[in-house]
Amino acid sequence: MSEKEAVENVRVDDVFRERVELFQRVAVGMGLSAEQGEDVLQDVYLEVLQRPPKFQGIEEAARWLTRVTINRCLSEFRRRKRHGQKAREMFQRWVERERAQVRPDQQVARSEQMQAVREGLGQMSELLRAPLVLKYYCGLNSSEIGEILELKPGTVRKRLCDGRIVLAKALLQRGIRP
Amino acid sequence: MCDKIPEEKLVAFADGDLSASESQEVSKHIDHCESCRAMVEALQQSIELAKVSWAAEQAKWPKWRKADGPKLNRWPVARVLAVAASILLLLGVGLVWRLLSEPGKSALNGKAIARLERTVIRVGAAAQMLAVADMLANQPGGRDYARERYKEIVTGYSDTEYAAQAKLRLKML
Repeated sequence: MSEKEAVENVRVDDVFRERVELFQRVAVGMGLSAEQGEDVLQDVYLEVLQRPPKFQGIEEAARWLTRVTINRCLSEFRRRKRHGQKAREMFQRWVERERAQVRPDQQVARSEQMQAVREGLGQMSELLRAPLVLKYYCGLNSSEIGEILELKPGTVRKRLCDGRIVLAKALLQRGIRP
Repeated sequence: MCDKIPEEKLVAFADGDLSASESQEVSKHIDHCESCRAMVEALQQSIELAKVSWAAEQAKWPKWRKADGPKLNRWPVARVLAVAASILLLLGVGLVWRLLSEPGKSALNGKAIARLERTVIRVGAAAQMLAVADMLANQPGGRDYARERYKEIVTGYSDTEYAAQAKLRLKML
């Protein structure tokens, strides 16, 4: 099979299944629960099956799928309008899980820190959150993030920096010294 | 945080992305600048906590086998059944209302009930078949099955409104 034929035969549903963990990470990072995220990924998968777009290669297909996943996550957020509530629910679950494993003094400090970070993430603009998740949880570089979010690499770097500062200040402004 | 080191540089330092000389410069500064040191520590700590919280959330996800993709049968089937049930209910209510409101037929007799049952069953079967075919048409290998079901609706259930819909689907396949 020639290279051209191989490129034309990229099946997006195959790419989706192969990289499903990446899309899970995107959904988790964007703040969705397992149930909500599963619904979102099912929607993405069905969209792929119904209207399979044509791509020049596997990486282009993966970038498109990542972009669609992010957009679906944002739609889900807007539909549910539960950013704040979600962050609190997630934090409570995290606290309960950790409580059995950590000493009481460590428990208080870590809980406060985690709460500050959760709140920071919950209050963070979607414009900052998406690049942050793609870089620090999905392991993509600025150039790849730029292609997915249709931003210039410089803009991506600026948003990454702003997102990091927001999170760090969330810790510091609560008077919590790392 | 003081303004001697730009925020971007502190972030790059916290991530270990600076060159050796730039890194040394920032190191020297944070040795005696408490606010910048606190910011660097907060930058490192906060992203690690974010990763922990993301990973904890992801651990709750069901494991998907790559060959299978997402479990597609959960909500689509529920939705199909819900749609089919709604259609049947509406049809049943509509037909009963029509029969009861016809002049001279204030009560349902045996013949009318049998007619009602037959109609509801046929329309319901057509609705279910169409919904299932729609779902399978988009699955790998499901297109042929869906085509057969659409044809069956067009020919066997031509007196229902679903025949026209099935005909349209056949054209789009």
